[in-house]
Amino acid sequence: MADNNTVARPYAQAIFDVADEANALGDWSATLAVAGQLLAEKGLVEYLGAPALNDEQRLEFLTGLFAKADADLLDGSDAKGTNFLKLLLENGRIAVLPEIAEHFEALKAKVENSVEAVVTSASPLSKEQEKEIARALKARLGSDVWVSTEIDENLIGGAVIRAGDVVIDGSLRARLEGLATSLIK
Amino acid sequence: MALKASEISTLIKERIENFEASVEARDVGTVIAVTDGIVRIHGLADARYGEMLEFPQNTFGMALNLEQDSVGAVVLGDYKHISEGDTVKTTGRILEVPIGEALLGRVVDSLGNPIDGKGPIETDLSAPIEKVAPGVIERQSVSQPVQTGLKSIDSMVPIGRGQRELIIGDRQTGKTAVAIDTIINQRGTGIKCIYVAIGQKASSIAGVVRKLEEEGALEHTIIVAAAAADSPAMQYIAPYSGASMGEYFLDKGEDALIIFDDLTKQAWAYRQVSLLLRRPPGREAYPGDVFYLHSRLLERASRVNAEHVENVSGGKVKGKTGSMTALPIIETQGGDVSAFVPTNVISITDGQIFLESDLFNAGIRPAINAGLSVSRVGGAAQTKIIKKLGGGVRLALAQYRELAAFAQFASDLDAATRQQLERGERVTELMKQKQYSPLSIAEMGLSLFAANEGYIDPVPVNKVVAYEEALHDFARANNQADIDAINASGDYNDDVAATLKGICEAFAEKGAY
Repeated sequence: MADNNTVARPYAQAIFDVADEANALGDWSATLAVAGQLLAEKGLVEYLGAPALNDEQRLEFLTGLFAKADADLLDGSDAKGTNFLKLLLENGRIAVLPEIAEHFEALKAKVENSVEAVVTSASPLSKEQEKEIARALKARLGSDVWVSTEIDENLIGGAVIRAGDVVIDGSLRARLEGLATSLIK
Repeated sequence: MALKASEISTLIKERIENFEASVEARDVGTVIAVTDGIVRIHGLADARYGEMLEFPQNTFGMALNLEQDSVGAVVLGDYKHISEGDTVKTTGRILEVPIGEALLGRVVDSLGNPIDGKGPIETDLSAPIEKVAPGVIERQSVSQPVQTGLKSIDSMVPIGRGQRELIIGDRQTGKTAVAIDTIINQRGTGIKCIYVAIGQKASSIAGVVRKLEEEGALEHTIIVAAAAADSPAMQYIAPYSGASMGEYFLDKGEDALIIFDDLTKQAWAYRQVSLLLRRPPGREAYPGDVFYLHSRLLERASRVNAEHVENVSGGKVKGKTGSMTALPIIETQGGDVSAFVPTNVISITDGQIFLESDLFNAGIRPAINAGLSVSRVGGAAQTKIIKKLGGGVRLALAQYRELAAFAQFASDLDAATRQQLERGERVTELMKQKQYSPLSIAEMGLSLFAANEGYIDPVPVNKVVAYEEALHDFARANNQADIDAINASGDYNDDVAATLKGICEAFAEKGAY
């Protein structure tokens, strides 16, 4: 896991620079997200690793696949996209495409100064509550916040906000756990 | 402590009422692998080196490897309940242990938790386990003695307050015995002792605790125990925890004595942790920083000047110097002092007491090799009377060893040589001392005086031990006032010499052994 990240980082940086120069960060982001998802699919990487195939056949297969999945820049029409795929195949690194997509997103978020925050709550949040949380987080983290919500009834009440490594746990369950440890002490 | 059921519910009620849940932003990561007490954590990008990490179920760990995508940490204590996917929180604190007077007389683990069943430790003070040693400006040279109560050590390898004196030897040569005798002899001297047991059998540690209790030496002693069954991380940090507890006394302008028993096992524990963290192995598979492991620990043993004490105590303690004396113990394999860890620690310390199994088996206990044992700074701190009288003993032993080798071949020896041999034999005999029977300065001085002035020469070799014992009893019975005076001043002058001479002559006349 850690190894794939180490391998993916320079590829992501390179493709990010390419995208940035071409002013196509949004397009590349969408394309890589789809491609990363496909590559994470079980069996695909194993199929590509079959010794009966040569790199040209693999490239043909992938561009065909990406064309169907609306991954526009990698369907063979864009020269840079095709070169990127060729390079990955040549180096035998096609399997790290999901990690490359992840690092690409992280780099994009850094440049755009935006953070994705996941708010997990026990019951559905109203639009006002969501906005309120987004505003408070923006003030706290000093960057734009994209809030997505999840529901987890196990929290009993309250909410857990997760933005990158930072977690703000205001759930009833966490408070009960805290009470339990304080009683044991 | 028996509690009634109603009292328990009141206690719980109190706890619930006083419980304050705070919501705070925490850095959180995820466990990706657990191997032999080492945990690899994804995330925690802001963790600091040596920071305490919180695992589920009130378990703590220490961040040791900060890498690009992961953090390597050791779990302090049991790790069997930690599994992949668990969340880990940073605490923002460097590992700390409780310190203070309340720890005296207690047995604690490496984190300062009591393990002697005597209830919680009532102290509000705590200190980080890793501290930078006092700098050049704060230090003062060693000038006061630590009396071990062992004739052979106090006369030949004296130890001063703030010194680091290594005790080195094979297994079963009495290393721990020397250390325990030294602790026992600190009764009533004001020196607070810390005994750090690393990787020892729990039964041995229990034995030490019981012995100290019997001898009334537990009241001034803190025992930090990381037994063989404790995790290597606990064994690795135990000496640092003990040093922090000792530094409390140093910073207060008092004197402390810390014993690390033993650093070989600590180095083994650290080697295990390092290898599991995939740090590159070096000589004997130890990691590259095994020298620093011990040097930074032993540098913390020091003597600090009055200004430092005044600054640290906020002006409350004035005109008092503080000290922490360290007696690290190293176990050698087959007398090999040139192995990696022994050479390291020898070079760090201010001298060593070398114990030999041959001597031990020959009945010379403590089994100190007088030739290889040295104290590089203790001479300046030695009590005057012992310094004056002990010089002759060292010389007599050195000459004896040299001659003894020749004398095996020579059939007839001249009178002077024979006299030196006979003296040497008796002095060797005189340096024997039973365990748990430390001697006062005056008793030691009396024995050394008897040897120097030839009072023991007519005594048969196998009677020297009995002679010495009877001499001490005789002095205690007839000259208690003189003994007290010598113990109080520690000086040596013509009057003292005359007193000692008087005792020896009276004993030669009237005493029996």
